[in-house]
Amino acid sequence: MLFLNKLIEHQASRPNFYALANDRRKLAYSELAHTVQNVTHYLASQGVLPGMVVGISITDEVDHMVASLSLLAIGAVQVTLASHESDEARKLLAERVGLSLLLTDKSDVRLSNTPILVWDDLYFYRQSVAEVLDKSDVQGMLFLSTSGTTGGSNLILFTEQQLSLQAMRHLDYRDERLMRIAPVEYNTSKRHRLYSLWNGGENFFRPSSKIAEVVEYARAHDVTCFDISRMHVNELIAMSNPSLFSGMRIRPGGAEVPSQLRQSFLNNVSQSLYVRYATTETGAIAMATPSHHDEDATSGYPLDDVEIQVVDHEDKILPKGEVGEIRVSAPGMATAYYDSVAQTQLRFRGGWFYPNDMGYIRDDGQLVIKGRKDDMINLNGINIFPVDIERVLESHPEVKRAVALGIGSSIHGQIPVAVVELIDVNGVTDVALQDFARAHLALRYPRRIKFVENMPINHQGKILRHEIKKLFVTASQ
Amino acid sequence: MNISRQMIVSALEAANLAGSGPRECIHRFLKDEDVLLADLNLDSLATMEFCIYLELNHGISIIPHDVHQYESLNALVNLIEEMRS
Repeated sequence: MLFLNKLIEHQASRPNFYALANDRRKLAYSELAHTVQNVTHYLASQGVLPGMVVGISITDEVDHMVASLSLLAIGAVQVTLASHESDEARKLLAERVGLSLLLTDKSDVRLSNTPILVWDDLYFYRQSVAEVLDKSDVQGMLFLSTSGTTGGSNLILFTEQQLSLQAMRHLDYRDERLMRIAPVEYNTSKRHRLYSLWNGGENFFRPSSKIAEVVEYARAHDVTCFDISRMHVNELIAMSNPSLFSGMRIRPGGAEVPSQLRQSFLNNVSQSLYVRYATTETGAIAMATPSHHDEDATSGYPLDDVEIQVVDHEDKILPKGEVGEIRVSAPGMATAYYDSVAQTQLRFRGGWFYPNDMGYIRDDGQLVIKGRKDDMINLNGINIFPVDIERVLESHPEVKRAVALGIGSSIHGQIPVAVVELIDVNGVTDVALQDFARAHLALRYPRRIKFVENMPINHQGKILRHEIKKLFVTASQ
Repeated sequence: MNISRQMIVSALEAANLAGSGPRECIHRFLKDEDVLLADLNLDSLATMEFCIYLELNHGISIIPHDVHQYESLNALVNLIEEMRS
């Protein structure tokens, strides 16, 4: 009940702040704890018990968060069965976590033989105030899945305690009115909403999925913190209307934001750009604030109580400036994956989490990410970081986005190649672009460049490298 | 055999050339005959491997795409001679 207890604190200290608001309903902190208790009582009356695995499939974001908070309060284990996923994917996830009940806003939803409980918001919001539950030792839990950009995804089960420790790295949320483009059915968004609620922040939810409408809504409701995906950075630049974003901190997440793109954003949108480095396993790790954006595209300094080390292949700590594997220790981080011993042994070692990222710590203490460890290209013993190729290609005026990768060669190990999305499809030829890259990269230039109309990315703007690799399945193609 | 020819032979032997046809072509080339590139079955991967070998071992930098601008191995020999001069 850690979160419910926090809501009760906020009810007293900041009753008039909007805890949850969308264009249907606004719940101030004066009402939220009561509503959560109503729903908790109702769920208990329907047989929901501590430890029961309950799926949430509710698209209205205010309702979804009330349901999530109520399941935490009752001590249940919750998992989001997102409406944007296929029935097959939802069914697989439900089987994987041993789902006992589905809480849904659609009465016609069927998920194999799992019982459903239909969300009746009118009932919940009209109910009289319930008594405070006396189950203060009960802890709810929340399943989150990793993004799975390289194939399958891992599941992590977080306790309320872990979530609260992560939330303490976001004390600034107390003074923020938060808007996120990604809805709460996405794991990262849901977790940030919980962080915000823990800290007494205000949460506004998007009125639609159209970026222009979201921006307009955020502007009209004095949003102070606007979280977007990497892929929306270009869209905000294209709006070329800085006045829309004055007084707003803008935080792209989910993927690296290259230095040139940051510069373009600073010049055309806002100086108030914050770029996070975070993982599902640890929560936020580091943050580049407006004064940190330079040619290294740093991830800024580690957040409070987060420790970052860069180590070699024998786990020996490397000096500043030397590139190696990053490992992280942070309060509230996961210590294992739910159902993968092999992945757990690989990524959680000696109290550290290894995010599979390569990078270095600069002399000034800022973290610079060079890319995924698995993505590093080894050309006859020459280590090539895809980001170095991508940065050069993206400095070409005709290139919108570039992704570099290695394709296997029995003689040379891996050969660097690249996939490029152009601004204008006739803007430059592959050969001219290769010449351009070779002039900057020498031996490290991509030996083949393929053009794509749209770079394959996930909802967070992360590159789907396994999709790109398919373009080079046989290099003779 | 001149050095440029030797470079090409070693790079071709390093590259993954499919089938027995290319091997016979290399034998002919070793006997100072010219060979059409089309007869070598140099696919995209083999072309990249060929070029990288030349670059890493002999400092001869040719973009893989450019290889196929040349009709035969003798034409490539001439190119390498020019680059080395």
